[in-house]
Amino acid sequence: MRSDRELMQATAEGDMEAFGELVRRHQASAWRIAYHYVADQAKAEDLAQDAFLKILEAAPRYRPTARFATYLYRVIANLCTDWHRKRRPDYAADVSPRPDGAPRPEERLEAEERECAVREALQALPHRQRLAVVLRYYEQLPLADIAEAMDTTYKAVERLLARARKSLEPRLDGFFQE
Amino acid sequence: MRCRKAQRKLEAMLGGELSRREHERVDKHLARCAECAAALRRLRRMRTLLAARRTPPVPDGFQARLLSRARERTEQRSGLDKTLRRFGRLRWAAAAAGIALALAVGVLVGRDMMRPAEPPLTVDTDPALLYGADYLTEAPAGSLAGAYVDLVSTRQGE
Repeated sequence: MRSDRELMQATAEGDMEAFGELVRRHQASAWRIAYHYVADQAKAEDLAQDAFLKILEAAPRYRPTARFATYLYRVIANLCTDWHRKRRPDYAADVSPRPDGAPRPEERLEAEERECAVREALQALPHRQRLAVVLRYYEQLPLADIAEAMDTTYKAVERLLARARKSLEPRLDGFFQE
Repeated sequence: MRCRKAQRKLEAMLGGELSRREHERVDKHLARCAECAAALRRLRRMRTLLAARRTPPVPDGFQARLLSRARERTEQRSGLDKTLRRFGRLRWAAAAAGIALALAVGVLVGRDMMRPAEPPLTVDTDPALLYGADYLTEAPAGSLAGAYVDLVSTRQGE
């Protein structure tokens, strides 16, 4: 199996199969970050696709100084920043289709209410705090990797997360489970 | 270890990112500090609550749509590259034509400059004819017209 680095080199030479393989490997990560950042499926798809298109465009100039995933996170982080600058958050509920075997109506209602509260609380966070929260709690990235993706320091990420939690706590009070 | 430092380390501790020594120091602090132990509980429940938010699956056809857009862009880019290359070739052709034209003009001008000077025009024509005053030649002798013709004519003194 070819490594990400080899796939990027092949992509730079115009191998679209290699690019497709990179997309297959990393689309879930890109999608997860984009979705939790923008809280809208259509916008998240645009954002995640734009990240891969940027990577395709920049492939000839790609220098493998870090893991491909770190590079992808940085591209997505930059796109989130652009998205935040250009658009205002849309608080319209993005109701995802209910999967089969979903919980009973009252449990579902409670879960939806909780999910809605979390989404709104996240959307109310300042851009960089929200991005740090998404990378940490949804992508499970180590603090050092978040710092690299966001082009900042380890300590700055710690501070961003601490401030974000401080803002989230009162908003989500009542949804915590001991 | 002070509370402030201990609380700053909690996030890394839950992520398993502390060294063994650091982990032990934070643990020791937590064992005797109720405030920091409460901060750890709050952090745990926050992580649990956030993690409970569902991530919908990657939309159907995500990859197909993306690859289609990617191919479209690649084709557009290769079309643009071709145009630029063609423009590049035209630019060279235009430059070559310009140089050839400049050389031709230079040769023509140079040839004119190198040509020996032509001898001055000699007037071998009767000025009366040249100035269109030949009709006066038939003026009677002694008249003003006759005197004028005599004055300008090469036939003067004939």
